[in-house]
Parts: sequence; structure tokens; C-alpha cells
Amino acid sequence: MANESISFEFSQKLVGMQRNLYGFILSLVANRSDAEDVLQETNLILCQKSKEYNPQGNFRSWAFNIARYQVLAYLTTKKRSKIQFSNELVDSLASEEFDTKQYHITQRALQICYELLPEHMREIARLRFKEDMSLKEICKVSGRPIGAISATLYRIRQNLVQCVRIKASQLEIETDGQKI
Amino acid sequence: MNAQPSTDDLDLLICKLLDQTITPKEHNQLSKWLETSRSNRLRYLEIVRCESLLHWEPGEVDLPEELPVDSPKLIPFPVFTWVGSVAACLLALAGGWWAFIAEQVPDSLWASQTLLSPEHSSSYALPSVHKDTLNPGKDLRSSSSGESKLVSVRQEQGDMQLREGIEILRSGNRFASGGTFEFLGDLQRWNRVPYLSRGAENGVLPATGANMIGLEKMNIDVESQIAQSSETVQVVDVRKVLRLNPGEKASVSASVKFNQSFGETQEGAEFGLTLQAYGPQEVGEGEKPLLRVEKNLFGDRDPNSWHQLTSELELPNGAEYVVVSLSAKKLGPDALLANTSSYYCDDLVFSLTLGDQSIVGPI
Repeated sequence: MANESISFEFSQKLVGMQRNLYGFILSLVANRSDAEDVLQETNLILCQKSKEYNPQGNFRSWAFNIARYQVLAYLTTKKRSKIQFSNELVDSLASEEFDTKQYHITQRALQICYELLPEHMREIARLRFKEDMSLKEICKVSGRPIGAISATLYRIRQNLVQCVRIKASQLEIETDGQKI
Repeated sequence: MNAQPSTDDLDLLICKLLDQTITPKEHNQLSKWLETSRSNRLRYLEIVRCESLLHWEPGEVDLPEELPVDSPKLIPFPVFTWVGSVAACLLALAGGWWAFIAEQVPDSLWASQTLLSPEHSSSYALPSVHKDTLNPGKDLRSSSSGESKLVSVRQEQGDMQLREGIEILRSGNRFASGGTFEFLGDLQRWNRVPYLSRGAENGVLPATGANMIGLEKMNIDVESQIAQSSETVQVVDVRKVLRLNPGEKASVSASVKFNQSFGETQEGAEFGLTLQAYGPQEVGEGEKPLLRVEKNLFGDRDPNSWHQLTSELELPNGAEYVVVSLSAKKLGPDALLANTSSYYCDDLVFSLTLGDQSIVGPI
């Protein structure tokens, strides 16, 4: 496939789909490093197949399908470890609806909810989610025991999910209201 | 653990999974819970998808999934957070934060200079610009034996432009389109800069004045992960000035500034300024390239900073035309996102020197 140009529109669609793709892949492999690897493999395949894509078609479905196959291939080549979902479970998770429009609302709600976290929680969240530190590294930085960090992250995730549910509903209502 | 978990129990194992502190036994339990209950799977997905969004810079949203039909080409890209490292593929979009280099990059960053003399032409075979190579559909690579794909991709664009320029100067066609025919003392020049000029766009302001040169979108080779764009911007007819000053050592010099707009690539582009001297046309053949000097530098991703390159070329005996070309290139995974940025040049100046005396320029 020499000298094949990727169209500007395709590039935009692919770039715009990255967060959704990453979220989808992470839900199947449950490991960030693995998810990043699979995302990059998926992107390569998508670019190589860009000419096969019908611009009138559903880009998300096409991209997610390729991502799913890449996840399955990755799990196979990784030589199944004990900490890995079965292919059947991966298929079940992959088949759950992934509403990308809802993803945008979730993103906005998450931004609001993140800022609402108490400061000590926000600091732990920053180290874990933004700086991508392991729990051991966070322990060293914060001077707190690993059990406490683990418990804090558990509460952070629960708080965020709970908050995002509420905020997302409010944002949806606002969005629908603007449309009327 | 119970057959059907409480939300807290389920959340606990999901958190352990995401923090990689889960034991194999706990993982088995979690898998069973997920396999046997859709509500458990939905809860798991809810948490994991929030987790995935936490990797990205808050407050920034993705582009809409489907572009409207009439969407303009100039769509500003949000600034994504980069996570993780670049693998052997294209979009290194996993991880990290963007670091912008605010100040200008000194010339010491230029990556390579290829000075070719006829003695070195075997190591970098410059093909003759033959008429047939410019016919649509002709496979240029098949007519250039031993040539790298990289060279042929660049040549395909550049050769047509330089040949057209040489032909215009040779025929004296002052009314050709796509550039301007200029008289500069004893020099004549085919100048495409006005044709390529554009105003400020994509967050990039011209280095000086109101206009700058915009390079075309890059040709991307997905397999080899090379993207490049090349423009022949000026062709200078030096026949008369050299004929009037026989025996004098003649040289040309050029300088130009480069920049690129925001995009999704991790690194700046490699920019190139190339000066080529072409000799007389042989019967049945195209113009013969005699000498080529290419200078390169790596730009940054800051649209506020312009990076300057200068180059010189001593004209060999028999030189008739000097071609000034500009290029931008990206390699590796970044190549596949090359066209999420646009590439610009400005303040191109050209000079001709005979002996120690500047004859023309800077122009």
C-alpha cells in the first residue's frame, strides 16, 4: 500500500475516536499499559484499512470491531495469564452498548465531579490517574500506607461514578432543553 | 465471597483489578460475577469508562464522531493528554503531557546536510528529469533504478514543478500560471512563492508581513511510515550572469524560516531547504542535475516559533538553473498523523555571489 494518503476526514475521525477506543479497550483488558498497546495496534490497522472504510458507514462500529479483534489477538499472544478475562467474557463486555454521545456527556460530568473531590482525594487521584503512578509510588510520595491509598482510590472511584451519574443526567436535561 | 456480590464488594474487586493489586483468586471471583450478571457487567463498565476518561485532560472534549458534510477543513484540534509510550505504530496517543518549547530552536538542531558532487552522485543518484517521468500514471519508481522510495515520492512532486519552471524560463513564457516570471538584473526567475502564499491560518502568524508560504498536505506512506511534502518554490536562470562573468566563482545562498501548526503529532517535522544546480539539456534527455545541497532541521510543535535554515551552493561548471525547494517530512508513527498539522515557510531570501561580490540579492 505504497503512497496511500489518509484523508484529512479520516484522520479527524480517528483522532476524535481515540478516547472512546481507549475506554472500550481498557474495559476489555483492564490494564492501562495493555490498553495503550492494543490502542496503538488498532490505530495501525485502522490506518492500513482506511481505504476500505465507507465514509457513509458507521466509523465507530467499524473501529470498535477492529479493536475487539485486536484485544482478542493480544490476549492470545500474551499467553493467557491468571489475571486476564476469558474470551467469552471479553465478547460479553464488548457487546454491551457503548454510547459515544453519552461518552461526551460523561466526560463533561467527570470534569465537574473531579473538581468536587475533596483536596486530599484530588491529590491522590492526580497521582494515580494523571501521573500514572503505581500504588507503591504514591505511598512513597504521600507517606501513607498502601492500604490507605487503596481505600482512598476505592472511595474516589465510587464518589466519581455516583457524581457522574447525577451530573450526566443534569447535563442531558440541559442539552435536551437547549435543543427544544 | 458471596455468589452475588454487594455493590461495594464488586467495586472493591474492580478497583483492585484497575490498581493491579488483585489476586488470582479474587480475579476468578470477579470474572464469575461478571460472567453471570449483566448488571455486574454494566457496573464494571461504568467504573472502567470513568477510569479511562481520567487519563485525559479534563475540560477537553473529543471531536464529534461524525463530521457534518459541509464541515470546514480548518477544524481546531483539542489538546489531548498523552499517556504511555510510543510503540511501533502510528498514533502515540497513550499518555503523558505535551511539553511545548517556547523559544526558537537554534540552527544547531539541523539534522543533516547532504552535499553531493558529481563524484558522490553514485551514492545518491539524482535522476534526470525526463519528460516521460511526468506523464500521469507513469510509475516513477520503475524508471529510477536503485532509487529509494523516499526519494521517488519527493521527486514525483518536485520534479514536475522544477521542470515546468525550467521550461518556462527556457521558453521565456512570461505568462505561465502558477508563479511569476521575474527579471532580476541578469537573472531571470520563476517564482512560485506568490502562488503558494497565504495569510495567517491554523494559529500560525507569518514570521514577517502578512503572508507566508503554505506547503501542500503531505503524502503519507502508511507501510513505511513516511510522510512528506515538497515544493519547488523558485527556479533561477543563471545562464546569462555566468556567461557574462566567465571564470568567476559563483555561488548561491538561500535562507528560509519554517513553522507548523498545532496537530496531533508528538514531535515537530523535519524541514528541508534544498538547492540544486541543473545543467544543459542533452539531446533526447531531460535537464541534468549537477549538484544538490540539502539542509534540514527539526522544528518544534509550537506555532509561535519559527526556525531558520540557511544554505549555500557553489555553482559547478555548466550550471544553467538553480532550483530552490522546500520540504517537510515526518517519520515513524507521527507520519500517519502528519496532516493534522499544516506546514509553513516564510522569509525566503535568495542571493547570488560572483567572486566576493554579491550580484543579486538578497531577494
